[in-house]
Amino acid sequence: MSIQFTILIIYFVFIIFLGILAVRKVKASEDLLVAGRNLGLMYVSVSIAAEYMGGLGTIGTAEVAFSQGMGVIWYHIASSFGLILFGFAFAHYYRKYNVITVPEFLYYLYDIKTWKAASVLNVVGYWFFTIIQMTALGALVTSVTGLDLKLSVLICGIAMTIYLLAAGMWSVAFTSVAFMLTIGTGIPIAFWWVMQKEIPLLAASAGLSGYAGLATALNGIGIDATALFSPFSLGGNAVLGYFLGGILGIPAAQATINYSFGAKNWKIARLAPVLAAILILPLSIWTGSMGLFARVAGLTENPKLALGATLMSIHPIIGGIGIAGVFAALISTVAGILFGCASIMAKDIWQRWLHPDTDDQYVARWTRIWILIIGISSSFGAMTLPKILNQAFFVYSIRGALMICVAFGIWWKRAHPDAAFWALVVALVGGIMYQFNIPINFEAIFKLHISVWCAILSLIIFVFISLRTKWTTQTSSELPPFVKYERESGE
Amino acid sequence: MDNNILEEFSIDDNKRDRMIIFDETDKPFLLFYLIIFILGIILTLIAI
Repeated sequence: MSIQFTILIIYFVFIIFLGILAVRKVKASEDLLVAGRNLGLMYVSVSIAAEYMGGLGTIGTAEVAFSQGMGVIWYHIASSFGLILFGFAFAHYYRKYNVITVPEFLYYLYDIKTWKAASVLNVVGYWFFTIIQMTALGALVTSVTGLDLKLSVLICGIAMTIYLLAAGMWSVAFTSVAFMLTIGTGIPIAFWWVMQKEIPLLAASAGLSGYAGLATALNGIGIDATALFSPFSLGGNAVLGYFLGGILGIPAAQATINYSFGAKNWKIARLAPVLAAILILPLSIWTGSMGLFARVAGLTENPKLALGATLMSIHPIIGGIGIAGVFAALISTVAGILFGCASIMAKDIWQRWLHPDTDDQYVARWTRIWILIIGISSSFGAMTLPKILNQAFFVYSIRGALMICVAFGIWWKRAHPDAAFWALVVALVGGIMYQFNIPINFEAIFKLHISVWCAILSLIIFVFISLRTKWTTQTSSELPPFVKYERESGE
Repeated sequence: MDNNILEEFSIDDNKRDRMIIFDETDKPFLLFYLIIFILGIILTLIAI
């Protein structure tokens, strides 16, 4: 067993131990996800950052940098921008309405059918997202253990499902600070080591360290370093796509913004995402550089394995700490989105929509069942090995329609429920058709990034229907039974 | 849609004792935050 693998196992055991301690300590609180809406500023900030730094931000950005260069830094610049936008423009509205889910907020802004459409869209998006994150987790484990990638993906997916069922979201959420500490120290330490200690050892680097050494090494093996170091190495369309994905995706990203819903007050809900944005900003500089190192050092042919291969090739203790950091990023995100998907499925769709007369025990039981169903099906789905960052933008794009509905619902008086409903439906159907080339290759014809495509579709539909339809004010008598019940019972 | 949302803040939530942004319970998390933030900056600067 390698030193890196040993460190990973020790870290995982430590996290489970911490989770068990956390559960014992917070027995009185039944609802940790919103924690009695009593979360402080720094806890919310660190938790948002930990949740956001997942497989896409680590394995995915290294994968892109490996093939296309450092233009991938826009991913986290755009994400930070999205978080800041969410903080300043949206967080206080969500917090004010005391919502638990984004679809629930859309109910307050529109009507029941919009809430139902948003619930379905969220579940589809997060189910797909779970598959992508499990792929990233499997890629990391393959790098560490040398197991077949498909087998790793399957094992990791099933292990995550069991972990979540056994530990519960409470402990996972409480360990988010430990996760963030591991991510925020392990990855930059590994990055520093690679740039200063490993690059000078490359034959083609002429003994230089840092980016000078990396550029020399790239040029030395016949790869144009200037092109790969360019901030626009991915092309303008991709950068625009990242920004649209960040701006449109984050303000409606349930698993990420969930912590803001639990903030003590709306001021904290608003400020915390801004502080989280500062933490995630440099991540793709670290992971992207390590992805490029994997290429120049010839560590792997598979871009998905670039980050893991780099961390396995360096000093085992430093590499082990780095792997623990990436592992923490993946676990915190997989757990968050798998639980988020299962809870929307169980609470919004299964109970509120399909079985409204059932109690909380029923929801708890079905949340576990849905964790099992989504977790296992995603494990097998991940065996198709989707391109991590590419497929993630499919989810961001269809989720962008949610954000359009939220934004217009808050700021445009004419925003109409029918417009919101159809914008969501069209974004979901149009996004699926675009991503999977049904029936034609849309990208080849329209030359648009998928997030631009979905944003244009949903925007046109939303504005068109809103302008053509008269708005009737929603009254409290139209509140659905679940809202009435929860308000009256004080839940 | 609801133009009174911000106005409502002053009615419900805008009580001084509930509007504190930073308190004692935040101190350990602030320490974590600063460690991550400062370490990230220093390691990035010396690495490049």
